[in-house]
Amino acid sequence: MNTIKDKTILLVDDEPAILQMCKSILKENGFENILTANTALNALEKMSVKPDMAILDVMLPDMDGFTLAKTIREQNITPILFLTAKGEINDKSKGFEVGADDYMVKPFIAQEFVWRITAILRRTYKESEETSFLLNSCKVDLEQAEVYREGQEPVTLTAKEVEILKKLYANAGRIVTLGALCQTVCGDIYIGYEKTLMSHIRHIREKIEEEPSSPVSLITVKGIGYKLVLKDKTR
Amino acid sequence: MNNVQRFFKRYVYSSVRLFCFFIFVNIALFIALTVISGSQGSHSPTQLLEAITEDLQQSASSYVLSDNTIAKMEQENVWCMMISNESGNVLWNYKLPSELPQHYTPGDVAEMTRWYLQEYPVFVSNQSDELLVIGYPKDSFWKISAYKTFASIKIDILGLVSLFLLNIVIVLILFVHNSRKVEKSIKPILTGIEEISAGKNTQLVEHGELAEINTKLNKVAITLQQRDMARANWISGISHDIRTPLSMVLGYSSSLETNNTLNAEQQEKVAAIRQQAAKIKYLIEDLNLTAKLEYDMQPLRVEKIHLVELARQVVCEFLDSNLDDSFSIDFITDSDSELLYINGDETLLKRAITNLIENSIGHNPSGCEITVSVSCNNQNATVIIADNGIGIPAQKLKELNSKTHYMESTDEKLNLRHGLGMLLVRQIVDAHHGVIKIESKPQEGFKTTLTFPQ
Repeated sequence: MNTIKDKTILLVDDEPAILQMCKSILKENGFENILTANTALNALEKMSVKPDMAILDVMLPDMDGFTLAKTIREQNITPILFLTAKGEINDKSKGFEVGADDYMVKPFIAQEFVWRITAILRRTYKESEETSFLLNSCKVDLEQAEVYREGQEPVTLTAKEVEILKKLYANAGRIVTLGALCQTVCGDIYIGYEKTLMSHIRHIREKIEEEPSSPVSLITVKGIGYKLVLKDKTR
Repeated sequence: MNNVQRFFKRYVYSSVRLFCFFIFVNIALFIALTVISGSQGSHSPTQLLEAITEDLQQSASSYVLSDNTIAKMEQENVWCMMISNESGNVLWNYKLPSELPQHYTPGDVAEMTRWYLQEYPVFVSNQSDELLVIGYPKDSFWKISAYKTFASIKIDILGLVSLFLLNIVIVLILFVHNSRKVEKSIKPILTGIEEISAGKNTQLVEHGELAEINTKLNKVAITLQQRDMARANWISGISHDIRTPLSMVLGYSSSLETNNTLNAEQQEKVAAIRQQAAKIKYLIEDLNLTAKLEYDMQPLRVEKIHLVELARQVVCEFLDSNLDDSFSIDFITDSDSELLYINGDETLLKRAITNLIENSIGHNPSGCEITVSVSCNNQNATVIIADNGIGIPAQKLKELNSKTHYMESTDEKLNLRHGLGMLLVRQIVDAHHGVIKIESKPQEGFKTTLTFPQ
């Protein structure tokens, strides 16, 4: 059922142990189609099978990762995540310059690695994105912009509410800051948007929560932001 | 700068003292010289003349001198004669050289009085009816005849005094000018040395009289810089090399932590590994950043920053990171601060706040309430990170406030985490021209206030 987990991911790193670890982390999290390469040349060969995403190290024996990313970008738009020990801000900016979608610095936590990959895949392959998810007391379908509750008529979501839920869902189980949400709703941070945001949240709660006054799915983190809690996931 | 000025003040003082001493010694020497020279002619002609005048006794038509006076005259080879004022004839003499005449006209007298008598230096004293003349051997005296108008003498005296004073003034002026010149060329060197010792970048101009010293100083500065650079590179190299093995530890342990096949105890152990690995990761990052900031190798990436959202993101990361339930983080801000933007380096500012929260968590193993607040007034933006934990004793607070250079500290007691993390915070705040204030009391918590100019 999970289309994102079916995507092919190409891992490129000259350190076999790291490749092995990344592979095992991804497999544990349900990603089955994983390719590995330990040189840039090898990676370019593997690109012929058109993986859905590439995870690159910067320091490779035959070519640096930035050049590799550039070469890949010339041929297709496969999303690229840099996973490297080079954590300098200059390296990061270079990474994004050559067209990376994200940049992670080693050492890293397995969960974050998976979140970021999932987020990139969701962003890139919208058409196949899961657009519906289960909450404590209802099912939300973002495509249809509707909320289904057992034994009740579907409730319609407004466009803004869908936007907010999309943002929260993409980061499900994690806090989304007020700034990030305001940006989603209004395209800019703040200046009175917080109140607008709060009223949107209130409306969403009325639609998805059993008891809007004591929410369990859309949780407020005071002063910081909001968090969406999915039904079968406790994070 | 103060040092330089003090040095030259002292230099000028000592030189003036030396100058005064010099003049004093000269005056003393001059007096001594006069005394010695005077002693050389103690039997001065006038004295001898007076002695003879007093001693002369007329007996009949002749004169008689006492033995004492004769002895004095013999000692200096002096002859003597008495000339009648009326006739100009020599009335009496004592050892008058034979080539000298026995009669003198008033012209002769006038001439001899002023000058010489046939090259004999003679001295004259007018008695009532006679003229007493004493003569010294040839070439024993130099007779100078001096006459001047009073006006001219006045000018001479005034001129001499003012010339003397003028000389002193000129010498002083030249001296001050000279030391100014020396000061001018030495000052940049001293300033350069001060800058080098403060670890700043220095480049002296390599020309002028002291060019060689400047060149060497520049060399020293470059060497030191290179050493700093090497140290920073070394640290960055090591931290880079540690990253890969640490990735394995952190990656696997974090992956195992959520593995449902492990029992609770195993999961706990894995969690401990993960937490400690994360700590190492932070330490290495701190070390790397600190070295870079210390040696000015980290350029600030200044951009407009929404401080409230930045702090919010930091807090958010902590809340998302499986923080133990014994910790809580509250975030407080006001509507004014929501509109607040400051210029700063996002990564570094996040790091500073992260380190302070980490400190609170790390130092309170039994948990605490952490409060992060952002506020502002017209000039400043303030971030306060406070906890209600165990705090630190006054002594340690003092150390923390005074030891700005952890790397130079030889104090082993200083807790590494507090030390390095705090040092980095301080460096970051400094780089943003901000002010850091640490307050703490045992059992009452720890509070750090960061103030940045808007």
